[in-house]
Amino acid sequence: MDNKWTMWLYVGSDTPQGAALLAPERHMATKPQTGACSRWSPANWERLWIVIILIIAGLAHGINMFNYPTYLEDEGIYMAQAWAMMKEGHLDAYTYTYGHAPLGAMQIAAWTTLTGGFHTFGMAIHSGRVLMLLMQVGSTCMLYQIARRIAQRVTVATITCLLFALSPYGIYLHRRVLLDNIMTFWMLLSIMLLLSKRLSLNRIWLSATALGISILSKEVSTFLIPVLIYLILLRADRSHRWFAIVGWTTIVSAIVSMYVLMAVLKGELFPPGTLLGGNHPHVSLLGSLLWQAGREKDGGILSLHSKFWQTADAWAKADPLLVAGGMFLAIIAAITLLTARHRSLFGVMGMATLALWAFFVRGSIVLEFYIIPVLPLLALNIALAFGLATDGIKTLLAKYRRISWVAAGSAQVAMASFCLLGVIASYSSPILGLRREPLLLWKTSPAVIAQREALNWVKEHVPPCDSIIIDPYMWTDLHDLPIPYQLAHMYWQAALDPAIRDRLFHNDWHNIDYVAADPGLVADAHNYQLRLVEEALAHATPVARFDMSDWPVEIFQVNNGKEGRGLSCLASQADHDSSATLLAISANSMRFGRNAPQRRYQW
Amino acid sequence: MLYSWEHSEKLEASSGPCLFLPAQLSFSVLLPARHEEAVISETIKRIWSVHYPANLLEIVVICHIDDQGTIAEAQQAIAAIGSSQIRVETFATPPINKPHGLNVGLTRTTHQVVTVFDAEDDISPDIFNMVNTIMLAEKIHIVQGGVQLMNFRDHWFAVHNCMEYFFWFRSRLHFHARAGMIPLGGNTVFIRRSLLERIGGWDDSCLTEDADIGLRLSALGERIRVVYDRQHVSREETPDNLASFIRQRTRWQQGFLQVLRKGSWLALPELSQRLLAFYTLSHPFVQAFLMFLWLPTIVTILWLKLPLLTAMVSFLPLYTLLFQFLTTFVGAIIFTQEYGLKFPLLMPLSITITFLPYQWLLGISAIRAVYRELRRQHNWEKTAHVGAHRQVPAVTSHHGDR
Repeated sequence: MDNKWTMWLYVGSDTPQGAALLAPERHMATKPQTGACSRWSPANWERLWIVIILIIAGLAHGINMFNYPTYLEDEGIYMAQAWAMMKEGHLDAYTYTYGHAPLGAMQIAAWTTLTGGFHTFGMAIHSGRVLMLLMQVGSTCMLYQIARRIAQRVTVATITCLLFALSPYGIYLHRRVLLDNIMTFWMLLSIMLLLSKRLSLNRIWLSATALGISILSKEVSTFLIPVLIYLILLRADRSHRWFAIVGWTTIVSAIVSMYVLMAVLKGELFPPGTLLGGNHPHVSLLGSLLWQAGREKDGGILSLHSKFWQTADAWAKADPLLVAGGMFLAIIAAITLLTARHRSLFGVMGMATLALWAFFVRGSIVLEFYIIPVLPLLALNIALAFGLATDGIKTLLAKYRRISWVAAGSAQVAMASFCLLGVIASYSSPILGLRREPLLLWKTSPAVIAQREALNWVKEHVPPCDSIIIDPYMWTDLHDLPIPYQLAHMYWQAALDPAIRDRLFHNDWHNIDYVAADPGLVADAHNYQLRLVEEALAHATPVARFDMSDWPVEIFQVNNGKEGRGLSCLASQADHDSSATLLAISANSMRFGRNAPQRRYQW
Repeated sequence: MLYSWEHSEKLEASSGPCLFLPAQLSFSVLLPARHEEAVISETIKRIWSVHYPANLLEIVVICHIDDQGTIAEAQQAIAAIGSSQIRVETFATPPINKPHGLNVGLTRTTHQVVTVFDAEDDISPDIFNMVNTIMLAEKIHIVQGGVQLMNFRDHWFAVHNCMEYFFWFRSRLHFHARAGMIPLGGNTVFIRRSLLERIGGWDDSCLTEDADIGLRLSALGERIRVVYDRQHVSREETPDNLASFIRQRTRWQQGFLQVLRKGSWLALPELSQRLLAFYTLSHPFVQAFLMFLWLPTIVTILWLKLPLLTAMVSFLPLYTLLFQFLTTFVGAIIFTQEYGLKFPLLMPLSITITFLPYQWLLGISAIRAVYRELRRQHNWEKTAHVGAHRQVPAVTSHHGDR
C-alpha cells in the first residue's frame, strides 16, 4: 500500500503501523540541511505559503468588513453585553436571561479592553468585527494544520483553507460579531490539538480547555463531545488512553459546569413554580434551556416544510459546493467510518460534521448563521475526499509509474479546478444578491450607510435625556458616550422586560419620545405583538428617513399628547433634580427585572 | 501526578532496560530490621535467590542487640542457606532507628554499591542486573527502584494507599529526578559507596532519612535515575491497621517537616529546585491547614453570602478534589491492568465512598505531625509488618547451595 494512502487510514500510534507511519515524518524533521538552502527548507517554504493563504483569507474577510453586511441586532446585543461587563461589571446590559453562556461576550469585552475601548475602530460593532477578522484568520490557520495533519498534503490543506476563506456566504457570516464565530475558533483549536503529531496529555488538557471555552462561547459545540472522545480513543497511546479520555471529559465538564454553578449560586438554576425554583418570578438556566428546546417547534428533518429544510435549502443555494458537496462527502466519510476495516480521520471529520447537523435537525428554529461552525468542516470534507481520490488513482496505477504520476497530477489539477469553479459559481448565488453584483461583499452596502446615518442623526438631534426605542445595533454607541442616552432601550426589552416596560415606562407609550425603526423592529413588533412598541409607533410621526436600500431606517417622534415630551426631558426642563433621579432609576431598573423575557434572537 | 503518562516515550523511559549487561558491580544489601520475626527469614531467602553472582553480593541484616527474636530468625535463615556472604550485624547504642542501623551497615560492609531493602520487601530477581546495567550504561551513581504496595483489597484505605505509591514511584519521582531535587524512597535505593561516604551516611536523627539523603545527594548535583516497571518493583504491604497507618504517615510527614527545618534543601543549586523542595517538604503544613478548613468550609457553604465571583472561585478546590478522585480511580484501573490483578466489581463504589475519609486520614496525620514537630517529639513510631503482600509462600534459591 502506498505510504500516503496508509497514513490516511491508520491513526492509532499504538499500532505498529501507526508507529511506523510516524517514522518518515521524523526522518524529514531531522534530515540534515546543508548550504545556502538550509534557511529555506521545505518547512520554511510551507510557513511562507501559510502566511500567503492567511493574507488572502484576511484580505477577503477584512476589506470592506465595516461596510458589509448590515449591522445585525445580535451583533448589537453582544457588544452591549461586552459593554455591560466592562463598564458595569454585569453580565448583560439588561437582566441576564441565560440566553447564551457569557464567555463569548467576555472575550469581546476583553478585546475592547486590549484595544482601548469600544470606539477604536469607529462604531462599537466595528471593534467586534475586527476581533472576528482575527478569529477568522486564526481559524483558517488552524484549519490548515488540521487538514495538513490528516492528509499530510499541502495541496489538501490549501484547498481546505481557500474553500473556507473564500466562500462568499462564509465571508458574509464570518464578518458579523456572532458567538458562532468565536465558538468555531475554539472548536478548531480543540480539534487541532487532538491531531498533534505527538498527542501528549498536556495537549489533551489544552484541547479540553479549548472545547470548554467553545461551549461556553456558544453551546452548540457540545454536540462534538462524543466525536472528539472517539478521536482521543483513536489517537491516544494505549498507555495513557484512560487518563486521556477521563481527563478530557472531566475538564470539559468542569469548565461547562461553571456556568451551571453560576446559576446555582445566583439561585437561578430552576424555573419559578418548580419544587427547587421557588415561587418568586425570576430567570433561570433550565427555564431558558427548556424554552429554547420548545421554541417554534416543527417536524425538523422529518418535515419538508420545517425551518430546517427551508434554511438548509437557502444554505445549499448560497454555497452549493461547500454545503451540498461538503454534506454529501460528510455522509460518505461517516459511512466509511462505520464500515471500513480501517480507522480513518476522514471518517471522524465526517462524523463531526454530522454531529453539528444533529443540532439543526432537532425540529426547532434554525437561523442562517447556525451553519458557521460547520463551514470549516465542510471545506475539510471536500478537500480530504479530493486528496483521497488522488491517492486512490495513484495507487491504482502504481504499476505504471509514469502514467500513475501523470494521472495523479491530472486528477489534482482537475479537482483543484473543480473547487475553484465551485467557489466562482457561489459568487453568482441568488441568496445574497450576488447574481446582480458578484463583488457585493467588497462594496459598501447602502443599508449600512442608512444604519450609520440614522445613528448619527439620533446623536445630533435627539437630546440624551430623551427616551428612545432602538434596534440593538445602536445600543452601545448611544450608551458609551460622555453623556449617555440612558433612556435608549432595545425594543425587545422595552416591550417585554418588566424592568423596562413596567418600572421605567409604566407600560405607557406616552413615556416614549422616539422610536428608531428599521424593518426588523417593525416586523417583530407586529409578529410578536410588542404592544408598547406598536402603540408608540401608532402615535408617532416620522421625522427622518434613511432609505437607500431595501433596509430603510426611520426615526419616529412619538406624539405623546399634552405632556409634550416623554419621560425625562419634561422633567429636566422643570426640575433638574428629578431628572437625575429618573436617570438613576433607568440605569438601575434595567437590572431589577426578575421576569425578563426570552429574546427572539437567542439560538 | 500524571507526569510519566504525558506520552508513551516518557513512560518507556521510566522503565528499566530489557537486556542486561554482564554483572560487574558488587552490592552490599543492608536490611535494617526491628521486630520483623514474621518476615525477615523469607526476605533473606528472596534476596539470596536473585539472578546475580553470589560473590558480588553481601547481605547484612542489621538489628539492635535487644531484638533477639529477629536476630534468631535471621540467623536461622542464614544457617539454612549456609553462605558467608550473609550475616547479621548488631548495634547497642542509641538511637534505635533505621538510619542508625543503616550507618552501622555502611561501616561494616565493603562492596561498591550500597542498597537498602526493608525487611518485608519482595524484590525482583533481576533487580541487581537492572541496576548494574543502568549504572554502567548510563554512568549513574544513584538508582531509585520502584516500590509498590500490593494488597489493595485488604483494608478500606488500602486502595488509596496503593495508588499513592503507584503515582509517587511511577510518576512523581520521575518529575523530581528531572528537576534534580528528589526525596529518595526508603528502600530499593542503590547508591555508590563513595558517594555515601562523601556525605557522611544517613542522618540518624531524622525520621525520613531517605528524603533527607536524597536532598543532600541532589545538592551534590548527582543525577538520580528512577526506575519503575512491573517486573522490577519491590512489593510491599500497606500498614495492617488504621492506627499503624496514621503512625507511619505521621512519621513521614514529621520527617518532611524535620528536613524542611534542617535546611539541607537550601544547598540545592537552582532556585526552582529549592522552591520545589520547599513545596514538597512543607506539604504537611498545607495538609494540616486544609484539614482544619473542613469545618469552616461547611459552615460558610451554609451561612456565608459571598459575591458571585468569589463564591465561584471558592469552588475551585472542590474541582481539584474531583480531578484527584478521578485520577485515583483511573490509576486503580491501570494499576490492576498492569499487574494482572482483578479489578473488583464493587471497587468503584468503595473508592468513591472512601476517598474523602482517606483524605481526612492524611489530614489527621498531618496535624499529628505538625503537633509532634512543634513539641519536638522525635521518637520513631514503627510500622508492623505481617507479610500480607506475599502470595507465594516459599522461594527457591537461584544460588543453590552456595
